[in-house]
Amino acid sequence: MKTLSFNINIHKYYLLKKYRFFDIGNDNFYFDEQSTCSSIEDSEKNCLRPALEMLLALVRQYKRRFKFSITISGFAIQLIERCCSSIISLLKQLAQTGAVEFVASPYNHSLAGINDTEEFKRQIRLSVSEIQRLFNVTPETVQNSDLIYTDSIGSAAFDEGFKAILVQPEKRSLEVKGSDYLYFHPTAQRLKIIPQNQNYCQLFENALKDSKLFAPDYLVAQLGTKAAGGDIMFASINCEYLDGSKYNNKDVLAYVKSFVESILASKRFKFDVPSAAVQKYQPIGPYKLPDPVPGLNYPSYLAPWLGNDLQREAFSKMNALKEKIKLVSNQPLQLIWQRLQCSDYFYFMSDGYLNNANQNIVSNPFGTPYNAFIVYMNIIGDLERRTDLEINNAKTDHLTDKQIADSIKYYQTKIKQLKQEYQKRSLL
Amino acid sequence: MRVLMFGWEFPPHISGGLGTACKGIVEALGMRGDTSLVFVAPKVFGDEHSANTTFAGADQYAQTHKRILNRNIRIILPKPKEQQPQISDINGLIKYTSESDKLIYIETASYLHPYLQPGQIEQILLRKNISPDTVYINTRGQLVTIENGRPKIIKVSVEDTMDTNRPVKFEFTGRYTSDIFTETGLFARIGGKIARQHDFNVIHAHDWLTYEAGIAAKKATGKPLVVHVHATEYDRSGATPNPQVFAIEKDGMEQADAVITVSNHTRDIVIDKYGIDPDKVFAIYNGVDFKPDRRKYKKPEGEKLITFLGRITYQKGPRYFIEAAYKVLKQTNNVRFVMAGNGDMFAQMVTAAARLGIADKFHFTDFLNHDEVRHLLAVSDIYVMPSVSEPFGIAPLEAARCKVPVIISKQSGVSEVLKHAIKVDYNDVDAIADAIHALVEYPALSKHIVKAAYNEVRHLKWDECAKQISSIYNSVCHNKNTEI
Repeated sequence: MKTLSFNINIHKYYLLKKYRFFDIGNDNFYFDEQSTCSSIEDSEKNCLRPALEMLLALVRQYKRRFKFSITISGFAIQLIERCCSSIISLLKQLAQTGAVEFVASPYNHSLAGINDTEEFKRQIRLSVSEIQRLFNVTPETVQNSDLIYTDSIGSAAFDEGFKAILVQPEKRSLEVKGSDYLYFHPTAQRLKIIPQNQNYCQLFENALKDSKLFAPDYLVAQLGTKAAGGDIMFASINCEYLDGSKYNNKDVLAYVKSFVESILASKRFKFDVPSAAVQKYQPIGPYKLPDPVPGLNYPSYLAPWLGNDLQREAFSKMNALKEKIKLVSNQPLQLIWQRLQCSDYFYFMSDGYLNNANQNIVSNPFGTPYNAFIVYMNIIGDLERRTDLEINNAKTDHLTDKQIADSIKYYQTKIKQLKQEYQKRSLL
Repeated sequence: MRVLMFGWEFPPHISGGLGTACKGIVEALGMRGDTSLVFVAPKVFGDEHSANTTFAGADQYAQTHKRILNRNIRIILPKPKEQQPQISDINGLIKYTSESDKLIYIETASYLHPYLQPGQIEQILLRKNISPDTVYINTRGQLVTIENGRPKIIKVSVEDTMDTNRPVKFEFTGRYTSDIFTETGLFARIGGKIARQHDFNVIHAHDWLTYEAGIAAKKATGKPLVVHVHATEYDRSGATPNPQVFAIEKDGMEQADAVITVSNHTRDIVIDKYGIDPDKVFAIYNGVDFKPDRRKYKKPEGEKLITFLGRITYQKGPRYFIEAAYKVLKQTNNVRFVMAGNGDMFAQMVTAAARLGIADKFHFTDFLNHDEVRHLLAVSDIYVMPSVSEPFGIAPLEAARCKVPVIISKQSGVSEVLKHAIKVDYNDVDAIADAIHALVEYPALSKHIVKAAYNEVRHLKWDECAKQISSIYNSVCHNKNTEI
């Protein structure tokens, strides 16, 4: 009997204001808190509450035969706690049933996994502690933001004590057998890798968007073709797709329900959560995906976030602020920088948004990638200005020992750089 | 497929936007091999060339045209505003000054919204050996001189306005300056005659000037008519179209078997304002055929040049450009703005730049010829087109061809074609300013746009346009045959 492992991905981010360049130096607020909150409230009304209630009812009805996992980002937790805290108790009830697993993910939904393992680990730990605090369960499975994966992300996850990681697979790294099997990490071999079945996931999302496209039975039948053979079929569904008001699909929840029921009736499949699935099956081989080489172009699997010059430029400017931000004792500045790490901002700068034909893309709050870039860069510019100001004006007496040490290190490297530059020039 | 095509102008003679587009279409259709054309223009000079195309001039037309040129016209200046005290003389006459020269208006051609150059009247007067000092404006706004103590109206013929250096320009015709309705009507009569002399399958008429000719040819032969809308009266004059032009346009579109528009933006206007059946209106984008100036020019270091290029009229939104420039200049020093072109809002814009105190960084070039435009684009860093309404707008594509990033208004047809450009609402000055600032300050943005837009524009070929036109020919001919 093949195992089906569905994951519901809940992620929210802070909407940015239309921050113009003449706001630089005049306006310290970058986030459109009101719109953010109202979009969360909309999402609660149309998507989160009805969907979670329906899933909870299903879990209760089918006892422990219907299982799935939930990934919730740190920002989603923050925003839900602030704007619609009752959702937390719903999630808690789901956690208590024992049929729902919570998956850890980077708290800021950031791309730190690609270039900063320490930051990635810190965010994972934060995510774990938040999930423990709110839902009283300890995550055993982990995933990176948007299921991005490289070898070093796997090792970092293993270092943090996880036994399983959910990934969006690169086709060339999979064995011939495909995505419906478990894999293991080439060095940290006890870490099991669960690749997503992309084809089926795509089909499923399209079906959720427009229920007239396929009947639920067709989706079940497709499991036999698009996901034939193998041990485990894993698909991660963005919870936005369960929003009946957004797409051409009012009865999406009834649709999901009848899908689940026909799976349960078919007797060919079985639902399970990732942490249980990895104990049932043996991995069929190593899954190798070397880290991107710094300085070279990012590989194609990072294209949605770092595919064009705009995204890379914004990403590198944001990262360049990292060292400086560590030096300031000003909490709000650090919080702003944390929020700006969110991968969505880079996603909205992707060229895909210029192509009307691309149906599988979430609506862009900035309108175009160019607007997304301009607003983001204006904000980063202002944040840098404020950070510089803060560093220059800071009194040293209330800095922590670590901050002093960091400052010394920062300026030492800076001095070294400047000296090198000076030498280079004098040689010329 | 044999096509009888009516155009108003064809390069190298008078190459306004319409002429350039006709050339692109004619050449690309001729190259297809399965199509031959007869191109009829009011006057053919004999040095027009294109594969598989015969050029037919309306000779008889040209004779009449000459008669029209010799006819007298009246130049009327708007009455001066009352709050401006002017030197007044006998009989309420007001002294002519160079200030009033900027407000020239030719009565007989008034339907055409001529865009006249400042200083033109003075030139006409000088050529007639009349000193501008002795000229007055009467209460009706006419130019007069004093003869024997009595005012005498100055007679000016059409030809007088046709200074070779700075021709009076009409928005679409180039140099035809007489009563345009006489001309189009005449052209139509001759169009009918020419149609009987040639053998063809389909008639294709470009813009309203030739619609009557197209209809006449259709009536004479019964062949299907395709009209090509490069601009509508709504684009030219905003909310108040000239009723006579509107009527000709509407009639042409209604009689046509198919209407081709240069963008979906124009297609919407044709459907909404002219009430044309959407099923026969097709948007076909223009191609680009522009050779950038690849010479290296010296530029001031560390300074960015931001360019507005086009007629300085309400339709092109020059004031939004100035306002955005003001906002950018308040905070940024390393930029310079240039407004190239001429038009009825020229004086107003110069005054505005001075009043905003940005005249040291904001420059005007007046009218530029083709080579000067290429030069300007070669040294520009950003191109801005904040048009209020633009049927297509080929200039941003030419800028993209020259590797200049462009900011265009969402209200232009070209924004449907060019994905890699920053698009703003024409009156959203903040957004324009912010986009300019971003392109100046964030090199990655302009690098990306330049690269992507260049690749995009390279693929906009007249071939593709001709292919789609050809398929429309086929479908109208097919429909015509099945009807019979």
